Amino acid sequence: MSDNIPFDVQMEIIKKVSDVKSLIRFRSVSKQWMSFIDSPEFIACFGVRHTQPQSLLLRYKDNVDEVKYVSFVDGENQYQQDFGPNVPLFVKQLYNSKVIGSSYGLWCLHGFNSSGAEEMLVIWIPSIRISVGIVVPFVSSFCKMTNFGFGVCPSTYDPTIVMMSNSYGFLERKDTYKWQVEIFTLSSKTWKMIPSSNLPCGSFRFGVTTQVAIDKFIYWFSHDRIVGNDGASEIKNFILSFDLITHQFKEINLPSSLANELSQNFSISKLRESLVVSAYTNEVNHGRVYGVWMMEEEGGVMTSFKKLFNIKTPDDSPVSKVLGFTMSGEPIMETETDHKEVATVKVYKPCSEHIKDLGINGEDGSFFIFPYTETLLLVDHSDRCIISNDS
Amino acid sequence: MSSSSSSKMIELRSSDGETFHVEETVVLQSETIKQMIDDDCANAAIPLPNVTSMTLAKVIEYIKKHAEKPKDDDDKKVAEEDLKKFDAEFVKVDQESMLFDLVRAANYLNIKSLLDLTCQAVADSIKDLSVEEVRKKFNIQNDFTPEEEAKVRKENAWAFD
Repeated sequence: MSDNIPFDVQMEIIKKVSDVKSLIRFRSVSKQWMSFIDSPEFIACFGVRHTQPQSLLLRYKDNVDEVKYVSFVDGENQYQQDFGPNVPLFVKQLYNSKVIGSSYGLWCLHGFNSSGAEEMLVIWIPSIRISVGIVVPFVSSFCKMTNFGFGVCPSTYDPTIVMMSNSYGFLERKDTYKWQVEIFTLSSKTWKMIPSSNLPCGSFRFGVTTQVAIDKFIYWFSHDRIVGNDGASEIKNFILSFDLITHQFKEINLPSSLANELSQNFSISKLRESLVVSAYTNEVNHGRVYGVWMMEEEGGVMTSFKKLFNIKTPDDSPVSKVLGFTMSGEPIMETETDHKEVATVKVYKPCSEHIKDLGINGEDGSFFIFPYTETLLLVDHSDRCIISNDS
Repeated sequence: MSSSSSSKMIELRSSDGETFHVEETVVLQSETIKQMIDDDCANAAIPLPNVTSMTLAKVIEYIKKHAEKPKDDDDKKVAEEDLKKFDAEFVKVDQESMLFDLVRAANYLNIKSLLDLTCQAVADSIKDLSVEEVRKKFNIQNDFTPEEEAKVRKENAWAFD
């Protein structure tokens, strides 16, 4: 036996290196190491890992409209450092940007390139500091609204973007509404039209809340106006899901207390691997309360929504939305302040009803929080490459 | 053969000619040796030309410890804890070359748990090393052209801080 460690054993050693920074560096050890670290098998085997201790990445717009990124160490409720220096220029320069969602440690943002000419989506992986730009294809001048979804397919690890555009006819009649669905997968680098026949009827709309990606599903809060036989219309709220594997849409019914009201401050978020919906509703004995429900499922089929708790906040700082949860299951929420358009971030402890103010103020509706996770997805992509259907 | 009494001793001979007597049940943790015994090649001392006596002594220390059977469930928990401590101490070797020798021996003798343990120890030890240090440790030839290497490094300059 030679003195060298055979490559198959070297591979076992590489598999046991725990952090992405070392692995990224080790790509330049040799071509063999690089092709092993870049292989889909290894990337899948590395998966998604939480840092120890777990940290959260918060994005918001400060009071002068500047986008800020701050990382927190979970559990200490104390924001630790400005993540700003690690945000790639590509992400920083995205004009009029907003967050589409986060999945497997990847963020998807929407905005315009610095010249403002092109509508762009950026997939950004904070842990390996890679960002990839995707030019949004031009749909139609009649297009009324576009909604995006983002998720990483759990079976192929392929980052996937769903674009749903609603073009409307000249007559504002329900049957003239049409949703057009296009899918972009990073592996194919192209947009593909898919049949939208299993989308609910064309008149539904997406809520203003962000999406949530869990396992193979992307969820959106949606609503529709149902007109009965008597001509009276009522609101119907529901969750729309998209299956990243089968590319099928599905409508998920909400509990009755949420389904038919024009619920205020509705939000959807993720607690561990479950979908959470929260909103203000009127309760018989409690009056107007901000409730939190969790979707329960069995074998991948939704069974019910279970009420977890109510969030009790002082009247002068109502909950705008639930942004996410700490590791121990405490909601992190955006709440209103005395000043119009200024919101603040707080953590609510359901057991003690204690509210901890994290002391960060920003533009209302601009807050997003996702766990900071390490992954090697996209490691073989060059940073700042732009994918355009024209190229 | 392998069904014979547990006290049957197997003789192992290291590359430098030293012989070791180990119970068959203990030595069966090595898939390589198990195969030799199954193939009836273990009637005389089994030669291990790739393993020095120093390394072999360590390997035997490991497999002996891992062959201990707890008496009951309570004992099992204690034994598990004890084994964890043993493993942690086991890979704290004075010389790094010893760790690499153990990786090679575990690989050659095909002892899965020892290979996992020592590979993890190596992975932990190289974590913060530079690319050059890793190449030197594994005796890996840099097969990138200077341009290629510069490109890879530039793409992820932050990882080289």
